[in-house]
Amino acid sequence: MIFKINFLLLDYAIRSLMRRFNKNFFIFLILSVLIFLLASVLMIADAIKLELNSTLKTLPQITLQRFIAGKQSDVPIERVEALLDIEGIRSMTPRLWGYYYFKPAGVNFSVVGIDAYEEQYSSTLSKVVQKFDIKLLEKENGMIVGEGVKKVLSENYYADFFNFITPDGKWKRVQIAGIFHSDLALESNDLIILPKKLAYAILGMDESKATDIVVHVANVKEIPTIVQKITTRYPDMRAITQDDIRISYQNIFDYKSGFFLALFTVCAFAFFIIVYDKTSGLSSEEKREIGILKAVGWSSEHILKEKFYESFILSLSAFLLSISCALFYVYALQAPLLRNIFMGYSELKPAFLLPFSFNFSMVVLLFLLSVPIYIAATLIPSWRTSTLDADEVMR
Amino acid sequence: MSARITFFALFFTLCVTLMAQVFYFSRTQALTPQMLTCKEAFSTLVGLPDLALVSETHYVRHRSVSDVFSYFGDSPELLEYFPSTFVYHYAPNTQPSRMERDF
Repeated sequence: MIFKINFLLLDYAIRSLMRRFNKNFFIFLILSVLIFLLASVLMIADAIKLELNSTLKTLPQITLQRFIAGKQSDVPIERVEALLDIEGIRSMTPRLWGYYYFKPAGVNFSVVGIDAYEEQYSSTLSKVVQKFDIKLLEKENGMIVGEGVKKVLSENYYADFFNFITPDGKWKRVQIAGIFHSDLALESNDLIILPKKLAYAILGMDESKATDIVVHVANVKEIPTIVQKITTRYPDMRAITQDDIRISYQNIFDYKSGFFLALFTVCAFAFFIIVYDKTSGLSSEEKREIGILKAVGWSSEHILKEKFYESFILSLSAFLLSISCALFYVYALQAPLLRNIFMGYSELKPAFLLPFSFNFSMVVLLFLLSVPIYIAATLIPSWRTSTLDADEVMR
Repeated sequence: MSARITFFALFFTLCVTLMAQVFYFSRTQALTPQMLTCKEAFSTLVGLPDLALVSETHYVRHRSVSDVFSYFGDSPELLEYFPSTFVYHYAPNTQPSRMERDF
């Protein structure tokens, strides 16, 4: 049977909605708020996921960490030489990084050591840094900081330099040689890049050790075999592959947005139960209306069709309005309040724009969770009443 | 008849607003190729995963390279130590040091 729109019935449904304006407007409002909240949370999560995934393929193929007594510890650099004979490994780079706690502001900076003299670094640095002074880095007393770090330091009267306190209590004065581009706020907000020698001194690490080792392989299909060979040779090493990071990125917000989805489901079902309950106990006026309609010759099919139009108009309008409002709230207003759910309580909050990402499957999921269920919750009680005899209903 | 027209007009306006927003934001707020190149250059240089949304502790800042024992450095019994650990917890890596996780 082909579904044809009966425009007269549609007119009747719209007028029926307007007749009970207060009740219908309340339902419309609640449904819109529910969908809006969930759509906003899912949109923020999607935008952050897009940001994460944009750099995934450039991350190291294998990261090797060393564990002693269940705690991550530094890796001796001689292991790089020892592992290089494994076939398939293209290059291995010991990496130096860690955290520096800045007590006056109560924030942790991520400190990364790089070989500043290497030419490939300077060309990359000029791409990602604004106001960049390479001479300071070359002299080994300069650092490049994220926007957040710069802001925190400025608030603490460090305009163009910073005094790091090394673990043995000495001061290390380091000039600010550059600030990362504002487009990179999400990646670099808490980051400080220093020449390796300085980083060793600030983090208080032995120069014969590294935080972890980054491995590049010639053929990505060989990654599992290479990981197995490395962990067999050094059982105290843990390998994190690019695939592990991809999985980590995929599930990063599942907990949070899943939690919201669960909350939404509970709220939505509570709402639908109320709607079902209200419509199954139709008011005497509504019952009389159905009775009169049946008495003047409407069949059950007509009544159901009219009720379907009513609920479809209401739920679809609520759905479209809430998705539209969610888009405006997330991308035009940059999701005030709700975006804080995804940020820490630390002072070092990045100022960033949520990149636009429209996940069609999320919209379909929201549609299926709201519109058909609402229609079902209103149609089933109406069907019950419409099957009764006209005189029985009106009596 | 007029009710129908009003309804269709409202419905049409909503649809158009929705599409216009999608079109406008995809033009103005999507990641541009220049931004992507910049991010990729940065990621190649630093090589560290995850975003600087949270920086309270290392298992939330760089959660993808964290492990099940990361919590123990801060507090052995409090899993929800920071408000942000409600959102971010250690990564489910395939090799969680050498201990199988059952929790």
